[in-house]
Amino acid sequence: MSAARSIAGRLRESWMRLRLRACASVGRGVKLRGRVLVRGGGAVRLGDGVLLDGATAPIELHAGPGAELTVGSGTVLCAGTSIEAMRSVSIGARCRIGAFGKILDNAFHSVGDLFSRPASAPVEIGDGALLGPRCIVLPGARVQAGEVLRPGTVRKARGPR
Amino acid sequence: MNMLALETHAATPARSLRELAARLAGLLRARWRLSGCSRGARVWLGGRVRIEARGDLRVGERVQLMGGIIPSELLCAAGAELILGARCLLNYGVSIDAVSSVRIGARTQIGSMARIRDSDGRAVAPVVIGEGVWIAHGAIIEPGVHIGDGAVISAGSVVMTDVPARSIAAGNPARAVPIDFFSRRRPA
Repeated sequence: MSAARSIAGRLRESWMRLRLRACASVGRGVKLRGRVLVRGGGAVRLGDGVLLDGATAPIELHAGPGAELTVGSGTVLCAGTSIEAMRSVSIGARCRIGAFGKILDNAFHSVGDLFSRPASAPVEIGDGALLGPRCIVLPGARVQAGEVLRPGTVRKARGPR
Repeated sequence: MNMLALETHAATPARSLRELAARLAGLLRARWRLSGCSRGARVWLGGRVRIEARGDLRVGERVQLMGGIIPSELLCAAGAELILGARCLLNYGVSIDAVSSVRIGARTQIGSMARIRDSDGRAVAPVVIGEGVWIAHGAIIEPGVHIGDGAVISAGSVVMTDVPARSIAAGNPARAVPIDFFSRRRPA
């Protein structure tokens, strides 16, 4: 019985690794539900036991060429979350990103000129941060470890732009 | 975001056969999906879009509707008008719901998951969005709002009052501040 269970576990693990083959590194026991899109030419790194719950809406992990997107161990990404890294986005361990969250390190447009691309400003989310549904973390913003963001919060960079 | 669409917008030549094929497929998909309504030249459709054109849906030339994780929707009720100006760009998950009139000016760019509607279920008031407006991710434009040319609506804001030209609106409810107050960049 336990042999059958361990074989099933291994099969599940290799199926998960096959589906996440576009990632640069994937930890042990990463769980995957629904559709998860890993795109761009950059490095997406997932820690141990990350849960990607794309059951009701797909999850997008986009790291542009040369960019780094890191998700710490035990972090949960809920449905419809989209993370776009053009240089660096790092999410700590045991975080929870609520449904339809958006995290990006580049605004893709500049104020005053829609067609020029601004420089990227790295985003960092500390360990154990809890982001409610529909939170938006803008370029250069920081979420402290253990911080709780209420649903729909828009977190932007501090100081002058 | 799919950068392909932006590059098509800038009319740079395709760098690979695959990119060329994606561009052609988008042009053909737009012809097919928008076959019933008034459509300008070279409209590009990059992914799943729900289109319900019972009224007057007009899409200008070189408009781009991008694909992504969540489908966009363009809903135009019977007797209503929904006008997308030339070279508009819509990212994924955008929802535009016209019961009487929604007009969007040329070169306006609408970010992912933004919502625009001209009716709250009871009151109906037309929405007018100017030219070269940037509406960022997750912004919500409520009925009766007029947005001036070159304005910026920041991410996640809820716009309930008019926004003057060349100003930035942010927050819930959104408040507008002139762009020059923030940025020293010369006007484009």
